[in-house]
Formats: sequence, C-alpha cells, structure tokens
Amino acid sequence: MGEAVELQNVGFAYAQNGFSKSVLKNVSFSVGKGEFAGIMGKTGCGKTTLLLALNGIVPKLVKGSFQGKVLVEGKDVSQKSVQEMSTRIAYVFQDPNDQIFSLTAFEEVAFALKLRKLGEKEIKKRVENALRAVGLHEFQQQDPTTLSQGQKQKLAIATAIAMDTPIIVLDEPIASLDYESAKHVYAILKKLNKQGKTIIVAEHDPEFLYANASKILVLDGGKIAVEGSKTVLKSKLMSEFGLRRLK
Amino acid sequence: MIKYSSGNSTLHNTNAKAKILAFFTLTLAAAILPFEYAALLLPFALFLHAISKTPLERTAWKAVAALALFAFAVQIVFRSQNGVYYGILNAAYVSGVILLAGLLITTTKPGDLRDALMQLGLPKKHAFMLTIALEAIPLLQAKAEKVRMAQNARGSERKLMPMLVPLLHSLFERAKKLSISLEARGFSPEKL
Repeated sequence: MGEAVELQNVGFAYAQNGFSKSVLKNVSFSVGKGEFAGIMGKTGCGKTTLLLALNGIVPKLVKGSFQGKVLVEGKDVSQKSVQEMSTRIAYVFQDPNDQIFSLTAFEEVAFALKLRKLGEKEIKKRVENALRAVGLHEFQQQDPTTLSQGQKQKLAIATAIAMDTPIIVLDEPIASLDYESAKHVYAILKKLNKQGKTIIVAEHDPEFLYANASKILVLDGGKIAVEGSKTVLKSKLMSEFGLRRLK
Repeated sequence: MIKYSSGNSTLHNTNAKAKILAFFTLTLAAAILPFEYAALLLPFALFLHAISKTPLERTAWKAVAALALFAFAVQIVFRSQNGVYYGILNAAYVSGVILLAGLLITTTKPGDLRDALMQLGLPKKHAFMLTIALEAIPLLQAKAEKVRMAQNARGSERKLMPMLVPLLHSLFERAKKLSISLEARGFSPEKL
C-alpha cells in the first residue's frame, strides 16, 4: 500500500496587505492509500491551509509564500493544475454554502461530472447513487438553498462521492451540525473508507475523529505537535491537550 | 423579494419557453401601441397574478409602487398637456410590465427559466452566470435578514451603511470561496 498523500517540509505564509502571516511551518507527514486520517487542532492552527495545499489550491489560488513539496499518489502537486487534481482529490468545504451554487441538488452533484464530459446516463447514475448514499435521493430536484445545514453538508459530500476520486478531503464537515447529523456524516465517511477511499478530515472535535480515524495528527501553531495511530495518541492527547471525552 | 413560489396553477404548468416568449411579445407590443392600450397590461397582469395564486411580498409591491410613481412623474414633468392622464396610463403600463416579469419568475422554476433561455439562444457562459446569480439571491436575502436582526439586537435603527458593509463583505467572500470550490471540482472558464 503506497502513500496517497505526502507532505515534505511544507511551509506557507499568507500575503495580506503587504504583510506575511505564517500558518504552516515545516510540516511533514504522509497518509497511506485507503487510510482514514484526521487532522486536529485549535481554530487558526493551519488545518484548512494544510488541506488546501493537498490539491494545490494553496499556493496556486491563494496568495502567499510556499515552501516544501506535496506529493499525491507519488506525483508532485506543483506540476499539476487544480483542475487536474480534481480527478484525484475531492474537497468538501467547511461551510457548504461556500460551494453550493446550483439550482437543484441534482445539478449540484452533476456539475463536476459534466465538466468531465461524461455521458448523460453515466452522470444520472452517479448522481443518483451519490444522493442515495447520503440519504438525499428524494431531494434531487429541490433548490439546495431550501435544505437544512445538515442536508447541505450531505449534499456537499455527495458531490465528492459522485466525483469518485481515490482521495476525499473534508474541512470540519460537522462544524455546524447537530450530534445526530454528525454521526450520520461520519457513518458515510466510514463506509466510503471501507470501499477503499482515502479519507482526510480536519476536525476540532476529537470525539468523532478518535472513533473513526486510524491515524491522527495534531497541529499546533502551524507545526505538527503529535502524530501517530490513535492507540499511541490516546494518552498524549488526554494529557497534553486536556481531551477527556475520549473513550 | 421576487422568487419562485411552488404551485400547481395553469401558469406554473405552462412551458417556460412559451412564458418567456409571451412576456417579450406582450411588453414589446405594448411599447409600440398607444398608451391607452399599453395600460391594459396592468389589469391583465393582475388577473394572471390572481389565477396563479402566488402572492407577492409586501416589499415587491412597494417596489412596483415606487416605479409606477416614477413613471407617473416622468409624464407630468415632460408632457405639456394631459400630464396626469398620460402619467396614470404610463404608471399602469410600467406596473404591468414589472408584474408580468414577476409572474414569470414566481411561476417558473429557476432551472427551467435558465434552460428555456438557453434554448432561446442564451450563451452557455451567460446561463452559468445566471445560475449563480439566481442562487445568490435567496442566500443574500437570508444574510440581509441576519445582519438586520444582529443590528436590531444591538439597538441599531434601520440604516443603509451598517447593513451594506457586512452584506458586501459576505458577497465578496462568497465569490472568492465559490471560485475556489469550482476550480477544486475541475472548473475553468474555457470549459464552458
């Protein structure tokens, strides 16, 4: 089993009004193919930036100075466009309102597939399967803005499922969901992982990550503070980060 | 705000392309015909509104009234004779056109509207922009409501600038994040 994702000494500083704000400092880690990896840390520790670096959005679409190398399935991301990377990595944003723009749930999921020039039958099949997987099959023709926040998040996940990429990256997918919806989202992710997808999730709540991820790393101030399997991490997380809800 | 309202009236079930063509034919014909005939658009539009059973919100009626008043004032100012008479007819014509346009939007699903416009020759790129604009309207509306409540909760009265600044900020933020999310799904303008 090779590496799905590998970061080598990655550093990034946002360029803001002539100033530079460093968010990632010399980060190195890897996630194996088929692994379920979790990235934890406080707000502003660099989780989102790290995820955006995986498919090249950072630094290609976000201004700043970038160091190091990101490899996806052994290939240097800097040599590929963000569009090319969309066939390898599907990205689910923290707030689904930032990515949903279509007039129906069906169209939203079909968007990336149409760009790939897939046939109509194939698109219909993939969209229906993806919506069924997240429990939104009956909302196919509904305006996404009328869905609840939890349903919108599931719709965003359905777009990733339909893209059928080997790697799915999610930025705090349960940040604005209730407990039951959060449980459902993680059940979907676990199922996708069992189907062979590599799942990488950034999360500030350790409970779900600890229950589902096989590998966890904790970011603190743009650096990796702790990394390893959950068994190794348990005592460290509890003692160093005061996480008492882990079972 | 004028937006699609689901229903099962004859107008809801009429083909979107037919509705668009009827709208343009009627408004253009009324623009060519004398004012007396053009003013008939208003009772016709009110009749269609009644049978479509899609009541407009109070703010939409206010906007229609404001534009009708403006149309009335234009005739008063620029006509040397019978200004009031032509002002009333012009106000009726303008209100009729706006109400018909509103009717088109409130009885046609946004997706059907876009597809029909594309079938009538709207370029794909413009249809894509229209989709984003149509979807942004309810989001902006919801955001405006939240901003208004937040301002009220802090004791602020209704003022334009305190509303406008966070609204514009969120609009630009959404545009930035949406463009990133589109590219992450393989979008590039050349693909349209």
